[in-house]
Amino acid sequence: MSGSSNYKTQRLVSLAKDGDESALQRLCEVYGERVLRIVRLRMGQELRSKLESMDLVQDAFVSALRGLEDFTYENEGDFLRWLAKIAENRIRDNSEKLHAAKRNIRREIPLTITGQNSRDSLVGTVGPIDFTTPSVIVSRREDMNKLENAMDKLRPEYKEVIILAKMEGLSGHELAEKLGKEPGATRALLSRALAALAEAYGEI
Amino acid sequence: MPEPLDDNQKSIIEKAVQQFIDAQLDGQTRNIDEFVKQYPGLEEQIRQRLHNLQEIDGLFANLMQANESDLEGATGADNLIGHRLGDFEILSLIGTGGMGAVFLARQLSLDRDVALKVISDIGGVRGKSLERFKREAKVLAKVSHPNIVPIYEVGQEGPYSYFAMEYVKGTSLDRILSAIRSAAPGAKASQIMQECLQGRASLSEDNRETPGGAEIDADYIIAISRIIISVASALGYAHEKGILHRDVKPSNILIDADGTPKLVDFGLARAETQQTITVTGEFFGTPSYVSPEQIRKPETVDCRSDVYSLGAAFYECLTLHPPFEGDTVNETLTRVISREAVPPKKYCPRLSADLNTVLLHAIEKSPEDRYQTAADFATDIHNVLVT
Repeated sequence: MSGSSNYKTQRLVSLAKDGDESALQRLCEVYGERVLRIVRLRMGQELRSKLESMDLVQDAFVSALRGLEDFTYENEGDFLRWLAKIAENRIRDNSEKLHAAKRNIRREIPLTITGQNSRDSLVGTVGPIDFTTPSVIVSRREDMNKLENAMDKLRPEYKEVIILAKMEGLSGHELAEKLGKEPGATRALLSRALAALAEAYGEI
Repeated sequence: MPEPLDDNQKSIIEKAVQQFIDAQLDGQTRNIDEFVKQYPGLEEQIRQRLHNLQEIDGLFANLMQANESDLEGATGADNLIGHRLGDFEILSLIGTGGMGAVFLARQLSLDRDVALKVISDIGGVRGKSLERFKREAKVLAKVSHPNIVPIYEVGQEGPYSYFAMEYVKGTSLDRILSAIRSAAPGAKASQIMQECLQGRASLSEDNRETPGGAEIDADYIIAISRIIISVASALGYAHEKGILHRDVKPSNILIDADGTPKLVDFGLARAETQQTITVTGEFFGTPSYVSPEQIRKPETVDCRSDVYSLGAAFYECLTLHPPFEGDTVNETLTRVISREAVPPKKYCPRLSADLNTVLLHAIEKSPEDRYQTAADFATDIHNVLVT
């Protein structure tokens, strides 16, 4: 991770804190889909099916950024986790409302990132262009879907340990503490979990 | 189809993959090709798993850390090229700035080239400022002045708001400045300016660090003064219509092929007030043209703030130094508020005492102490030229 990227994000965060809408927009563009992906990976399949469009994430995301006063940017991972946590809480809070809304829409709506549900005709002739998302994530969107599906196939304790290690960024020691297991047993668990994920990923 | 694996084989594969992962968790990297050789007959299956594993690691890593290119490409402007927005086919990117990107586009119904500014509001965070932007763009579409780049059409499609304006073939004041700064010592600024206007200046890196560049000669001073007079008259016209520019700077002053100055982004900058102060130009540009009141009390600015910015641009054109400069945005802003400007004559001895006075008067700290209208500013420059 480059220092100047940190610097830029830091600048954007501090501008957004001061109410700079352009900075907020930019953060949304850079981090929006990432946060969506993180939240989707953490959630189970059921909740995720209610999180097919960016709308909800954006709503959550904007409110997270509005609460920036409470946050000091230190590193990229912390920032993303913080955003994702707030987004996830908000989405869970909204999930009842969502249930009601979705009952009226019988079909699933595929994931679109342009800020509209695909049933909206607003995008019209613009089609599937995507103004927003970081190149790396976009180019790997298919793979991310594969990863989500593979994660769903795992036993809950495998999924948990992978999330803690790979997304929460816990060290081996922290993992053991968090799971209340011996370090050796924790490592064996993580190893089995990753092997299972590699297998499931190949089957999709 | 490969032979189905028996349980024994499955167990070998699983153990092998775990062994590889264990080594990884211990911080050892192993060559996959070497590793799989230990398992004759199962090499391909194991190799596939390990490749999956690497891919998964890469996905998690990408997910949890943004990188430079993500921030650079955040506007994703290139993605619009080749697409249509309303009546406009987007051809190429002209530039990106504060709120959005500007494209060269073809207006299909009229078969003409236009400059299309596109602003995305995907997160829906722009809210009120976007509303204001649209409202003002509509007002602007109705005004007409020879020194204002006209707006043809305002529209919206999906999350994209756009407006089409005249595509000015030519150059801009900031490019002329860059060319003058990077010119070989001994060259005349008026000559470099001519070359820019004729589209044959060699644009190299703007060399602010090294003193020198072309010599500011009398012809150049006159040419620049005339440009500023035209721009001031455009500003005066707009101010009478109740429209402020709020982002007057050399890069917004275009010079077309006939040498006519044209002020661009007129009034549209209003929606960008906040970022004019903080995020202009490059990612975070130097706010050298921002008036003191724009920093202190942005809600109070009036036409005299535009006078200040034009004065600052004029100052820089004649001295090759912005009136206030700092190493950081904050430093520059602090100086704009607190320091007195160096008399421009110190940088450019050729300036007349009168022009020196006019320049300093335009960039007085307090709006009350400045020219009260852009027209007054224009008149004084004119008077200095003829005397």
